[in-house]
Amino acid sequence: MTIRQPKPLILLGLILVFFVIQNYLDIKSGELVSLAYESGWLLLGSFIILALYGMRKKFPFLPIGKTSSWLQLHLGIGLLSGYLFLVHSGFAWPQGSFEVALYFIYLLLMGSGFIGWFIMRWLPKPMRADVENLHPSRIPFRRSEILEEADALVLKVEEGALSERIIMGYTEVIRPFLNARPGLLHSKRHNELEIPTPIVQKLALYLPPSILFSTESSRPFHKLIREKSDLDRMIVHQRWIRGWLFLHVPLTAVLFILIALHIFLVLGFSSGGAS
Amino acid sequence: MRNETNNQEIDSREHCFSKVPVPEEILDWLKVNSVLSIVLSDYKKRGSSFEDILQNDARIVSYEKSEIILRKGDYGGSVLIPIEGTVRVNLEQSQEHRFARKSKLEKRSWFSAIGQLFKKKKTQETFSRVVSQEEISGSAGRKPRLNTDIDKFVSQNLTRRIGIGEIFGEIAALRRCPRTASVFAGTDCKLVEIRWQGVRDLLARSNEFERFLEDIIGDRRHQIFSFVNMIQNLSEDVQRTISSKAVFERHGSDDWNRNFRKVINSDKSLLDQEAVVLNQGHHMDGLYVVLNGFARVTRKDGGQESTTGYLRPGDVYGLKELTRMDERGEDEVAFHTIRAVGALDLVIIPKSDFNEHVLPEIQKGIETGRSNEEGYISRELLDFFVDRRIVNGNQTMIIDLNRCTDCDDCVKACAVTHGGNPRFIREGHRHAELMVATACMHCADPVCLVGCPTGAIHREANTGNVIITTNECIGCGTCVESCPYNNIRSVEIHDAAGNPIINLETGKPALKATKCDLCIDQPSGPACANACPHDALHRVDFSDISKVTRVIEKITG
Repeated sequence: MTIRQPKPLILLGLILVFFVIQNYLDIKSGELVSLAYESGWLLLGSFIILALYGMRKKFPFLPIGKTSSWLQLHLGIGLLSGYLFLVHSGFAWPQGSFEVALYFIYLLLMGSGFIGWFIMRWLPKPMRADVENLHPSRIPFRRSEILEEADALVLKVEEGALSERIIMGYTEVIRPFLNARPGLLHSKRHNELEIPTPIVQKLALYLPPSILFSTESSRPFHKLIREKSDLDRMIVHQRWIRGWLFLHVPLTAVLFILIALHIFLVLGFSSGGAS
Repeated sequence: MRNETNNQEIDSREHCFSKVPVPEEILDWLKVNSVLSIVLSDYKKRGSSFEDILQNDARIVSYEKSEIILRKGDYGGSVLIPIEGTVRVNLEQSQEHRFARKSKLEKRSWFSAIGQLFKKKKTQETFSRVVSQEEISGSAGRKPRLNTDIDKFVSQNLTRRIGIGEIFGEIAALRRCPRTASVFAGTDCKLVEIRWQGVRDLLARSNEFERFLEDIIGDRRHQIFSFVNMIQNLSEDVQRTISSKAVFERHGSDDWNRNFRKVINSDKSLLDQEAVVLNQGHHMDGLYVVLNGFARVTRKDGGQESTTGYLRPGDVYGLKELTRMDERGEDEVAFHTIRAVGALDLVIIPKSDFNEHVLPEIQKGIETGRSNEEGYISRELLDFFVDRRIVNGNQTMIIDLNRCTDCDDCVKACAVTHGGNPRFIREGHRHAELMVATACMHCADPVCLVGCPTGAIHREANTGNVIITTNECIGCGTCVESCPYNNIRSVEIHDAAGNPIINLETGKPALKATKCDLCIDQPSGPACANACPHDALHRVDFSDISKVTRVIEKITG
């Protein structure tokens, strides 16, 4: 996992903003209703800045700071918004179903953001650990090639005492594995054979894998299974790297709708008392 | 019938410099009235005849009065001989701006930049403007010209007439360095242009011609120093003195860019394939100044030789040894071995001249070689950079694989700024956690520029970026073939309606060369580096070792 120090200017700016907000809220802390309003507007402001990050990515040609700096700002403001959220909610548990929904969606959004950040920093290295020189777009082609190579190999298995078992093992275990798409998690690897443990266990029903992969004609199967499992691991990692956004982005949209509703309700039913 | 014969003749000249043969009467004229008469005085007939060489590697070019024939600083791979009219060379440095390329690529406004988002993305390079057949075939008569009264310019400024039958452009053509002066047409004129391959063939067959050219280059060679940091500030007299005593050497192969892939894939050690220029432990005879190409600096410790640095154009080697020699008053030996990586042109300034003229002028901060004595970059990584000639790059795209998430935001950003067609491939050579993407590196030694028949691919004077002026590109593919890194592509061009534009002369789709232009027209500069959210994409200038080190430190932690 590679974490770099935050850019000093961004860090300094965020600390400054935090103290300014803190000081401002301290002044307002005597007036409970006003504090809720002030912190609410500040919270909305922070959400808007957070959403601007997505917009900035659409304009890579504008000289408005590198996207990586914006991401750091996004993370910093994200933390700051957490604090503002707590201030706004009075450091108390939510009451009523609408507040609970708002609270819950916000927590999910913030959680997904930080999980996403962790995934982005942690996964690239293991993702490339096994597959070095293959562009992700070529994975489907390589997988079909592997299946074709394996089908060709099985035809070459010479007749002998073990040939029937090898072919059975291939038909029942190896081929379905080579043909299958990976799920959301990758299988544990067998310590010695470095292929998925479930495959080793299933193959054991036909032949002990140590025997299966020891003959000249069957050794290439091991190489192909290993390559396929490495590709699967890469796909799984990529799914996680991209997948968290499928949670984070829709949640942002939902939260904005709820915030709009929240503001409408607060302003609509405050009957002027708050102002 | 005559037309058919002409067409056959043209087809058979596919690999010649020009599809149109040089007329016999001009060949005869050249034999008697031009510098090429020297070639015939001792011509060794091996294989091709004099006429064959010229028919293959020469062409006739015409210029109208005030048109620019050569620009100072441009790269070129040919020599020229005036056969008609007046050709003049500008000797006034202060007037050079008149010859400078007018950049057609102005920065877009924010409004125009944002407008790119709403343009329909095409899967191919599309030109909304009308592309003429002349532009496609290269017969367009748009040559750059001096926008001034040429007679007034000549009378008010120092220029020199290049005589009929004289030769010029030989330094750039033979040393593969930028043109050292600007040349323009004083009247309408005709010239014979011979590409460097032809000049090389003539040199191989005539010792007299070789001596003649060496003399000419010797007389003008102090101009070469105008590109060397350490020497360019010395007075012209001192530069002339140094150059008259200096030894010019060329090591390695001229065609390194063409056989580069073969070399790196061969089983032989790269060190064994590189020509040794100076051996560690040998007597230091002078200061080694790199004019062109690259050198590997190695050091043998305990029997094992490893790369400790590299030299790029303008770098010098031997400063430490010579300074120590001066301080101690005794002979010193080279601390390192220098090897030519590809083709290397260098000049050795003898130590006595160095001590007398250069040493007193040396001030702090003068760039020397790029050494890695501090060891920030691992020796394996340094080997990787030198072996793959990545040190050639001034804007090499390096990707930190520990941070790159394959999000492709860099590619998308490139596509947005180039009408939907990205100009680089996020794939390339890898070393541990680092990848050098297939993107134009805007090289220090831009071999792609050599041989471009229209000068469409050129180095921008202000920024040093290598740019293709699309409307000057005729799609000949010379730069595509010359780039050893596969960073330039030929693409079919389409009109606004999406139909391929056909070259009526060949009946084939018209092509243009494209490559990374560092988003020269965008308000932000390179959109790829701007777009990377993870700080994984870096543009690295290998002339600045401190920046290279900083990036490598960032990547390797």
